[in-house]
Amino acid sequence: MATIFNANDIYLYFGGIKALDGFSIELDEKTITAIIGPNGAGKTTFFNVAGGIYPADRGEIYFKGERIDGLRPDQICLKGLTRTFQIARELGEMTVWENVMLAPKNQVGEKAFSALLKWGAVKSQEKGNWQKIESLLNDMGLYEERNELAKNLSAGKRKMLEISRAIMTEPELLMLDEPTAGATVDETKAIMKAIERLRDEKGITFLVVEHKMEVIMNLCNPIYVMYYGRNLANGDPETIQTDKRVLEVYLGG
Amino acid sequence: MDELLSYGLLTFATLALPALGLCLAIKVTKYFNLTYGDIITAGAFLTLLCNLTFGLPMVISLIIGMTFTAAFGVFLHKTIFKPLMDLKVNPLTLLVVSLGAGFVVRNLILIGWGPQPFQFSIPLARAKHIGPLFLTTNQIFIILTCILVAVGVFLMLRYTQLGRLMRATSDNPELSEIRGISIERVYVYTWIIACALAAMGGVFMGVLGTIKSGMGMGVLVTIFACLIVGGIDNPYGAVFGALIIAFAMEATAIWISPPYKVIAAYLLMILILLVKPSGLLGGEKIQWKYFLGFLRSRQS
Amino acid sequence: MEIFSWILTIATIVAIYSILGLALNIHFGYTNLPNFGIAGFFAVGAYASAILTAPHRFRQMEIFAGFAGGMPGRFEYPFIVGIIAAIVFAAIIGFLIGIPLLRLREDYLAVASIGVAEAIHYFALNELWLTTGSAGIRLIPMPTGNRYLFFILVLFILAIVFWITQRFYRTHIGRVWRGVREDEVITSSLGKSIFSARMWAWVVGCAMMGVAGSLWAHYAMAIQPGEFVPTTTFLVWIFVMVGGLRNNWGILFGAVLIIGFFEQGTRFLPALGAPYIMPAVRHIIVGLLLILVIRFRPQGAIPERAARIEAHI
Repeated sequence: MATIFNANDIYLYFGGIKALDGFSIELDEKTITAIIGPNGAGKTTFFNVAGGIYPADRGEIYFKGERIDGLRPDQICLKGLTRTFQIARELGEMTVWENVMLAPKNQVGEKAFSALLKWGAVKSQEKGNWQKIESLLNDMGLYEERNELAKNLSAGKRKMLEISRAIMTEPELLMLDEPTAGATVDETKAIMKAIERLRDEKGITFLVVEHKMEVIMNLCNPIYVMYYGRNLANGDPETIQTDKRVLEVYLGG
Repeated sequence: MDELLSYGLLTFATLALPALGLCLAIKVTKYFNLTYGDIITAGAFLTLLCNLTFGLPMVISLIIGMTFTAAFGVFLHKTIFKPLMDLKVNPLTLLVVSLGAGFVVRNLILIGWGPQPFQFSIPLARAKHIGPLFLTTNQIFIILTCILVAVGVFLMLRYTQLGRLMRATSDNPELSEIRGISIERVYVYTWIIACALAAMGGVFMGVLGTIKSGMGMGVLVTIFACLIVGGIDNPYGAVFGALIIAFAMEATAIWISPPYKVIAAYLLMILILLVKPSGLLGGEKIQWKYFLGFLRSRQS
Repeated sequence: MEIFSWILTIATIVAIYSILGLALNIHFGYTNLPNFGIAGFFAVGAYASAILTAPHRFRQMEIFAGFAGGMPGRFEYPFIVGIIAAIVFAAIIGFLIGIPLLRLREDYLAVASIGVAEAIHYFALNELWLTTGSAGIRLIPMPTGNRYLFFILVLFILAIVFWITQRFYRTHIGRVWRGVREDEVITSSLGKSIFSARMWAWVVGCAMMGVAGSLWAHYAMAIQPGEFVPTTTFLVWIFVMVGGLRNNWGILFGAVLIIGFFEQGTRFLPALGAPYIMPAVRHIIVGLLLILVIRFRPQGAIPERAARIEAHI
């Protein structure tokens, strides 16, 4: 299978701290890869670098054959890579449906003048987007709250909103930072199913930061273990489960 | 050229102390309090009250004026700003309120004194030659006082306990709170110093020019320009910025055209914003907090 | 009939200020760009219109002949040219100002924008060849020749601006702007360019302020730099925040309330003393009102309402 994403030897220093210390990762198309590791290992930091929030001090990142390190977050998203955030950040004063409606790319109403003039085109595109969003919200259990202000949602639902929004950008690679954190058992199952279905139906590749063992072991292959900003080990679930170094450093949900 | 030196120093003397005061207020409380402009005005008018209405000598009037201005500033803080700070409103809300409060203060002064310009009643001074400068004793006094006070503030910041508290609070308010420092008290002391400096600046402006109800607000943006140019998180930057802005303004007045003095200050500010937004001596990023939020939560 | 004339005057002023309020809504309510330089863009629009439509001889300042020279050539273009010029100039100046300013954190942008308005004020005051300075420009023609018809025209333009502002809210651009307001990191990570979004909001809002300026010039038939002062800007902020930031109906309400009653309504109360006292009292009342509203009801009189998808599609 083709490689859709790879990061080579990423270094990032914050003052004196080595947040990322030569981390590398390679993702094949249509896989669900996990990054695991103890808190502070640098997983979210890596997401931030890959997502363009800040540049790495050293190393390159390639997506679909193009270099993306140094690009802005919006440029990276337009290329097909979307990431979510560990602490669900909702657009609080907007409703759930507005949050998700924001996501799709290349909307007609995006340029100020088109919004005013191309009435018909705007309407039909929004109708089309809404149909997709409606079914997505149903799957994610958010349909009831569609008209609620996002700030009024519970923590679990906010996470679902975060994920729904990311899905609506119709990415080719979706990087989820702890998608099931704070989610109930049912919500976790729903998220796992959604991930698998999106991989099967839409061909989306996933990179997931996770802590929950059932999710990691049942859903993800391969698994990368991160420790102090470095690679510790990587391989399929059985290998990781029995790797001595991993067991030493980190195991448990 | 000598003109430039004289006028430059005088303008610097009127800008430096308010710039320093505003810098401290912003640095410690982390809110922009734009009532500051009108506090400068209030300082000038309160001193005028002592000097003109009560006939007190200038220096005494200045001291009383500074005291009352500081008290007034603390009053504004306690009644208007502290309740909002406790509600943890976002800085913009406080900024808008502070402009509103300034609006009220300005108009109160207008009602109290009227729209005409005033002057302090000080004896007519004669100009002397001091090296390349040609200044009156009043002007010399102002420049020297300004420098002394500025140095005094720097010494205070470095060597006294209050200075350390102010620095600690500005660097890390949560940690300071945990350590038992009463943040509110530090705010009050900072604000007292800032208002006293504002009053001084206002009085200097009044001595060198006239006293009008809009004087403080008119100079607020120039003071802000000093902070931007020098570096908003650095008290030395505030004074340094005042020096640069003052000379730039006077150079423009001499060689281009007097009304454009203020435009020079704004242009310089815009230039720095384009080239080095954190200011010549500053380090804080004042660009949109695009990436800063993430630097705080670097878990996983 | 006197009373009708008076109501017409107030209504026209309220309508023109409403446009400023809607523009501020796009800047601050939608996109979190605090513009404290409203008076500056208002002035740009007013002067652009005035210069292009006022009679030649007043721009040449016969009274000050030889002093300023005056602008060559006859302008005296019709109203439509004036208002288009107002839009274009306000938009261009907005764009140029936006390049350095829009990168700043919001509190810095607020103060820097005060500076912009002051710089424009200075320009108007001192560039005599263009603006005839403090003497101002007089005898700007009222396009319809009739104050009642002019009010209808202003209302019509207000209605268009209102419709535009509402439309932005309900379409994608409005959501991008509000996304930038809520959380730039998220919005950027969803593929929207923050700089582009901010610049569009800024330029559109400035253009609207230019429109208001143009209407003002024709309504007042004479303008001078002293009208475009920070007080003007603050009044707009006050009525927008009191009426309800983000809700366009709230803004209209705020304009009627503040501009209508305080600015113009109390003119008929007895003056307590010297002529400067009553205006100052009015200003103190609105200033206090702003402080109280922000303290106790920050969302304003008519707050933003959550939009329902069913109403939308």
